[in-house]
Amino acid sequence: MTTNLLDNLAASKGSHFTNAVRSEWTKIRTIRSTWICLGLAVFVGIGLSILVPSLVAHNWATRGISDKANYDPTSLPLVGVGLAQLVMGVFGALVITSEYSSGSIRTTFAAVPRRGILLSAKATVLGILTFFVAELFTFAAFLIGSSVLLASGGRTINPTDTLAQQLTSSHIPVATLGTSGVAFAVFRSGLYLALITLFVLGLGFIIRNTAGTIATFVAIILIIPAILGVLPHSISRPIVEHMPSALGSSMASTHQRTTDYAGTLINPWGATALLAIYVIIILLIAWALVKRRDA
Amino acid sequence: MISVSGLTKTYGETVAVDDLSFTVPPGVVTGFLGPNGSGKSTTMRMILGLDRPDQGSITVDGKAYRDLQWPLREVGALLDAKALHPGRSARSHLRSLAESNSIDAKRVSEVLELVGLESVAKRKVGKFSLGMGQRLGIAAALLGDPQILLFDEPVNGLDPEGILWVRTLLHDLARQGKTVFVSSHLMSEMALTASNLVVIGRGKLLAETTVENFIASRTTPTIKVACRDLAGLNTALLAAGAETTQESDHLLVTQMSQEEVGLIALENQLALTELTLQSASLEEVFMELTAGEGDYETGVTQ
Repeated sequence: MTTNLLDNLAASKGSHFTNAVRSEWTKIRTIRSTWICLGLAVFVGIGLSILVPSLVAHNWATRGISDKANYDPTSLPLVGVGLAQLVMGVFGALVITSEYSSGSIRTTFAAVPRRGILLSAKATVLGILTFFVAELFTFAAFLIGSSVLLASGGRTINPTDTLAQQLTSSHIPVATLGTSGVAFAVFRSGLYLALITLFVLGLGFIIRNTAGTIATFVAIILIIPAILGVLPHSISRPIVEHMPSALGSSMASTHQRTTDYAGTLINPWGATALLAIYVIIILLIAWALVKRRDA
Repeated sequence: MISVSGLTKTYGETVAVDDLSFTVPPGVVTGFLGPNGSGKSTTMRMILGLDRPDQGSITVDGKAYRDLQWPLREVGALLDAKALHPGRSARSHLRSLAESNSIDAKRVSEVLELVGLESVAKRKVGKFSLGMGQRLGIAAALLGDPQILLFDEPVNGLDPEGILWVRTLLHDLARQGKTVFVSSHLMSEMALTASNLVVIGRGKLLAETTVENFIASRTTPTIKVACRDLAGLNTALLAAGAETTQESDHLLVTQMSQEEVGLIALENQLALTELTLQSASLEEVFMELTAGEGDYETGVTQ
């Protein structure tokens, strides 16, 4: 009897969720702004991944040793992620805030009154879509960015070279996907973009307003870390290294990096886990509010 | 059947809905009448589980809205025709709704045809006129072929042809045994569309009755009577206990039935040229009932 009930419950829950996912997938793919946002993110991201590596390679010979020591051959071609995340964030905001601004959220909630199911369906669709696009983008950006480095006088890292040998070389070291840990770093950068988009989705559910959501997102990603940067390092670094943008820098690297703005970053997989925890927390807050609030 | 019981909702200091109870039976069109700002839309949002009541309960066919298995198959609603993503086509909009409630995809084409939008189904809804938007909203409400239908001001922005179309549709739906609940601030429209009425003012129930009873119970029946010898008739009626008002070519009689007026005329050998019962319009009755109940009244005496 109980198992029967639980089976039915599981089946009905499951089918509500899968129907909500299908519905949200139809909604997200049938508006042009989805494809404009994703296309723009890829376009500006790859653009930056061409521009910055070519400039760095061009100036390599004249750089000082400490500058060279901060150079990370894996994350440099992924530099476009920093710009792409802004466009992806706007996309994540619009997916939900456009429903609030048009009022269609009421139609949505009338169709799916179990709001937890709706929120998880939206997050699932957005997460999967941005994950695939972001992975395609980061691998393309890495391949293109490192090709630019090679074409600008770079030389593929020889695993037997010591760090000192690499730094004193007149050729800028270039990583390949075959270099140890590099493929994972590129993968994590794509994951970073998908997680950031989900983070903004959660913000959008909480704030319910496009401008407010985007402003909050930009504050968290860019403005707060910049403001904290003027404080003494002993105060700012422990905070900044735990903020999403520093986690993104860490995730784009093969090893635990040291930066001038946040000191030694959290290790790449640790950063990934921490960002995932942020996303889960923000979506849980969103869920608690959405369940209670009037639409 | 919709049952509302003891419903109360406040927004900050404002009491939007105040201890409201009524039922909406199946098989008839029930009008939901009240001035702007009287709590009609708030009540409809609470029926759909969108806003949470502070007190009271609402059931649709015995269940709370949030507990319905596939809500769009049991309750269809048109709340705000403009509440759509402007960049999506009508067909995609309906398709996403159908998918969310496990409704067969071919229903999308059926309802588009029913409301006459199949030729513009692929156009972005942002380019729709208000009337087309209303039709799309009605299509969405009918999508799951529900037994209960809610329409918030469905004729807003429609041309006379569209209004007639909505009115006929509502009658047809009621004839099929469905529960049809339609809000409006236009009394004249309700007089033609609804047979039952729920009237509210400032969130409170003012009347729950049929349109006929609503008018009959709130107006004094007035009889218009005319004959060649108005003065003679007037004297006879006054003697029999009626109250009269003499106009240029007729009398207005109260406190007496049509039959009595006819008999008195016969007794006095007076040939009547007219004997009619004057009924007040729903508009007049409503204005009288809700005087002072609207949130945004003009200074004009109603």
